[in-house]
Amino acid sequence: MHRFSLVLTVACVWFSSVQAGPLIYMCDDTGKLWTVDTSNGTATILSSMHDSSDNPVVMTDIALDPTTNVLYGISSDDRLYTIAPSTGLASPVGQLGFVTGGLFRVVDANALEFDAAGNLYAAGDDTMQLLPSI
Amino acid sequence: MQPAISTQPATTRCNFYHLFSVDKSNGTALPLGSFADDPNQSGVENFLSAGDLVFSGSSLYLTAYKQSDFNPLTKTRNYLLQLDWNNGSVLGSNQLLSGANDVRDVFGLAVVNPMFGLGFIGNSNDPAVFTINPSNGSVSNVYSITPSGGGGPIIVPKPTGATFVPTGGRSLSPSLRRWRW
Repeated sequence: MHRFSLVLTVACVWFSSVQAGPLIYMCDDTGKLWTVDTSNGTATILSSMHDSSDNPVVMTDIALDPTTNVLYGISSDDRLYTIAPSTGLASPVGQLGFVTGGLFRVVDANALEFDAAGNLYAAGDDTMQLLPSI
Repeated sequence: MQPAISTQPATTRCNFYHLFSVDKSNGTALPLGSFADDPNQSGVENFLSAGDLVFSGSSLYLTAYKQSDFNPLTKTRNYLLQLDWNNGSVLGSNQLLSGANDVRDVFGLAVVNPMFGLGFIGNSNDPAVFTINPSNGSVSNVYSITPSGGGGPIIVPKPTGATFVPTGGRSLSPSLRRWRW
């Protein structure tokens, strides 16, 4: 009887520790990174995203590379970052844009996504500003 | 090559939206094509903004507004577009995201089978998570996003993006859309 109660208790604890639905990462306009339980909307803050100087970084979108499980983000100033979800440390990869006609054309994107092979796509406005390239 | 940071005003700007291929090692973003056609070209729908991109299997989806019925005050009437990932063109018909109430400001999509969206429903100022049927834009299983306990903020700020969370010993393949153990 005691053994049955113990097994039942362990089973209840195990089931209660498993989230009910799939989790998604969510970033918000204050720079926080959350997980959201899609089965009930419960949101849990993972971290506040920041650079190595502890300056806050607000991401306009995030995407997970399915081939490496590395989380990427694009910031409100149009830079690509990698993100450590647990600490929020955002490491710059580069300015989002391309060189054309001797100028660097910044891409003002707010949508980011990987395909299954790890190729990265973005969507947005490609003529935000033109900067001289060096 | 690193760009020089300039304080000069923008030399040009337009509101054509594009799909880009991004080099994840340096941020170089090459335009693949526009999903917003010339608004001066009659009979061609112009799509504005880019809420979020998501792959579901081999299909690429985007939330956006139509210029013809975009209201910047309400930000309702979000459409789900299927894009050709080779050139950004819109494939087939686009679907108005709709449920029991208006769906607005959808700035997050993630596919963990099914497709999930983040946005606002009806007149509520609380963000919500919901499922989306990409074949008809139907929104259902709506839950207000509520912070868990632990001293966090009472109100969740506006979501700006979303993606799936990998899970420990099991991984979810976006291409296969099924659990692997």
